[in-house]
Amino acid sequence: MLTIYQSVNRALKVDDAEAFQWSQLPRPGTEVTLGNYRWIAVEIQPYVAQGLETIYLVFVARAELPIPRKADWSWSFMKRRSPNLSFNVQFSRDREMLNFGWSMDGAPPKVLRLHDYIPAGEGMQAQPRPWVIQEIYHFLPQTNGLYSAIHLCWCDAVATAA
Amino acid sequence: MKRRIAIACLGLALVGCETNELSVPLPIGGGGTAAGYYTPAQSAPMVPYGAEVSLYRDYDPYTEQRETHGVVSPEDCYTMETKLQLTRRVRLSEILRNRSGGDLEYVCAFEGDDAEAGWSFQEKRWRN
Repeated sequence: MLTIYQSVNRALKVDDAEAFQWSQLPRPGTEVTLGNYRWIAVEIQPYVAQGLETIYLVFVARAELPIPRKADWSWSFMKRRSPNLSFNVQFSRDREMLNFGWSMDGAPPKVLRLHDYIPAGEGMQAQPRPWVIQEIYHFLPQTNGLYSAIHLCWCDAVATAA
Repeated sequence: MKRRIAIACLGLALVGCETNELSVPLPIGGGGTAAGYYTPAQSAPMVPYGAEVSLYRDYDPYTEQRETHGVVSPEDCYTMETKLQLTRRVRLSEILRNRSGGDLEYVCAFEGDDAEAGWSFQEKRWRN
């Protein structure tokens, strides 16, 4: 069972705003500790695909802060600008999280090869990683979800050019 | 009551929980286990059998009209899109986590007739 945690608080470092677990699901209203902070699970959205375990999207709010209005959640802004917003996450076959992202039009990732973006001179240069998406499974919201879909991507290691 | 539970979670420690009075609806049912956590009453393999699978044509980021920029937050991608569209035919297509470290933790991917392939640029000037 995949549980995806997303912070509703703005202005957090990315590793504090997202977490992925293959384990239990918190009850709504309970407190959890993820990374450097304590959180309250404020909403849980299931995403389903036929024949597959449900993915649970858990929205968490910083425990020591007032819970923001839903309209002010960090992801609500993206949803207003991109009504078909979808989320995608890439895993290795041994369930190592490799990367994640959002698609404005709800589509799965368009670039199957994973990349890093390395600072180079005045810019950033895309550098291929030794991972390529091999399978994509589409999970749809069981009820009204933030995302039009969650695309679960399984990746295989590939050789990189010398 | 607090209960400490050790869970492997890709570098993020999940530690016990405490029920409070916050009332938030849970849209589905499930079986109960430890305080604050439960395992939903369903079981099916995550690696599936015969479910919908899609494979898509890959892009070559060095030749196709896909332009990427590093930003501090996902919202900055929309700010950048608004400003770019004043003079160029591009649209925000994707937002990716940038694993490379530094302040630019996200990458905005733009497509469209005026998107330039090959390089992506640090665009701190687009913020604010």
